[in-house]
Amino acid sequence: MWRIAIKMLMGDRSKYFTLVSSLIVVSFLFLQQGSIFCGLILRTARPVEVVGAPIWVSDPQLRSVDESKPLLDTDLQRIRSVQGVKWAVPLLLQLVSAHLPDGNYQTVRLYGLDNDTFFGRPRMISGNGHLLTQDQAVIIGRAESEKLNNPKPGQVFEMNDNQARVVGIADVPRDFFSYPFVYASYDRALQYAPQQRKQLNYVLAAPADGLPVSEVTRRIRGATGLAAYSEQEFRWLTMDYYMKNTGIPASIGISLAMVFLVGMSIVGQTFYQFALQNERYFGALKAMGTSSMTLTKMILLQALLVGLVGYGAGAGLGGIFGLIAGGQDSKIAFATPWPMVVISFVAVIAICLLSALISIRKVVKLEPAVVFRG
Amino acid sequence: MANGCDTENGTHAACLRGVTRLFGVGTTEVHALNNVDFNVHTGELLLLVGPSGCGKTTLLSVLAGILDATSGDVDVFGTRIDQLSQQEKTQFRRDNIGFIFQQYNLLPTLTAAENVAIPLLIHKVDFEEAVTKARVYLEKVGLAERADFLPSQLSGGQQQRVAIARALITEPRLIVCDEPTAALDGETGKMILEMFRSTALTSDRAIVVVTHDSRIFPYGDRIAEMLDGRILSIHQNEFTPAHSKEKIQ
Repeated sequence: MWRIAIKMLMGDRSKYFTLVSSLIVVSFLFLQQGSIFCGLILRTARPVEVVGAPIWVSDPQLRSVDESKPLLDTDLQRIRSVQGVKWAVPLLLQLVSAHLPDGNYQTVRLYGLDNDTFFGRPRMISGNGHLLTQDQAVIIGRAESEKLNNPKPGQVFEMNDNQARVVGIADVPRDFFSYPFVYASYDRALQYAPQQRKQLNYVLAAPADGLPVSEVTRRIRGATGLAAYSEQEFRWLTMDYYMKNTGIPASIGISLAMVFLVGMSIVGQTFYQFALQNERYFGALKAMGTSSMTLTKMILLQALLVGLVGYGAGAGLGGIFGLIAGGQDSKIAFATPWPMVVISFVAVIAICLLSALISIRKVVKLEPAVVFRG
Repeated sequence: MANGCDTENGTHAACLRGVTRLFGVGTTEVHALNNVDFNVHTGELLLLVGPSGCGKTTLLSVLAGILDATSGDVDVFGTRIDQLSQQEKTQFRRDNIGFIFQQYNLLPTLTAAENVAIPLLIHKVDFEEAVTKARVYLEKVGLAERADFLPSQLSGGQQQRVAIARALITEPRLIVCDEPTAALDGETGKMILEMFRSTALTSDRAIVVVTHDSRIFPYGDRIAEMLDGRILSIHQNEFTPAHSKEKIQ
């Protein structure tokens, strides 16, 4: 009877296309909204990702990478002395105000990299990263560099009344706040950042060969009383902070709930109309000896089929939207991790199955004697 | 079953005793069937006639096991279908009853052959095998060349012939028809009834036809007249062809 079910569904082209097109829109919106949520949240962790350090050490009270809780300069030495630490370097990460040549001010995310290794320096697009050793040298991230008037190597601007000269442009993606990224040597960054009693706010470290990151972070925590995270843990700490302390999850959640409800109502209504329209045919099938269980399976198959076709096309459209509008350099935050694909698929199939239940109830309660009514 | 009804040895196809069917409750209560006693013989084509609302279709539905009687005994080929569960009744219909409807009830998105194949598919016969057999039955009703047409591409008479082929394909022992000629012109109606007699009626089967159409009365072996939920009379049909009368026990 499966073929009969499929032919009943696809033969009624207007209903079939209404169902499939509704599910395409629902799937697309679900994936699109979900991917924007994921994109936004992932961008909150971008300042961690771009550094690429295996271990981040910070003040234990720190709640996200965007907080600046200073450490003692001596903490760097304490961390280096922890057994299992291969190396450890300082990192200054602060938001500072840049004074542009046109008189405007722009907040930038300033990275002060270790003077010797420049660990955390991004991949260069133009210029030379080693020029950070020069006086006043800074590297600018490409994303959001238009906010600094797209400076070329050799151009200058000021931070904290100190001149900064661009020596290169780096391949840096956008972050959540859309601040331009500026890299300088650690000592130079101390001059660009507003003076405080303690300036160092992160220590980056790596585990000795053969030691797992988790073991080394545990040792650092035990030996120093500081917080130590793997890169993944620190990313999640930051993302978790923004999920708990901003309205993003609620806003997107409301959008997704609306999409679910609207999708449910359209698909449910269409399924119900389909059942009503086919009432006497279902009645005839029942009269001829088709069990309610078989009819239920037929309707579930129809629901799953439109769900799969609708989701496939909707997800495809979502993917195309992501390729066109998304990307690391795009202003639109868009990321579709696999759990998002699974969640949206489950949501669409749930819409189909819940809608099908309305039809199933109708068909199961249907008296086969309906076939003899004129 | 008592009262001269012998469904087990093949004399009778169906026997109804004291069958009552009520619709509605209280002041809206209606006796669609009122203490009906009724036999259907094997090998006969029985016509159920009477004015609209007299209970013909209700009686047919109870006989076919698609509507429960409020009270009374319903015996079809030795099975008390009034005592079966819904699931057992569904199975009984699948194995023993063929249906022909006034509105044909052909699934509009299936071809004629696929529609005819449905009862076999309900029996879990392989799709291709079922459609192949359906083509044979369409040939029997003279529609071999229309096997791949959709119902909307067929005339009313052709659609009813498809419905007949569908009712016959599992070779059911009892065929119930509700106003099979109501939507057809006179000639086509006669042709359909001739086809019933020639293709569906054998000595171990029975056909019960509900009809208003007096033009097809000559095709019935017996005619049962109904009024207000009761069988008013059942009589041999004097117009019935002689060969059919011989079959009546």
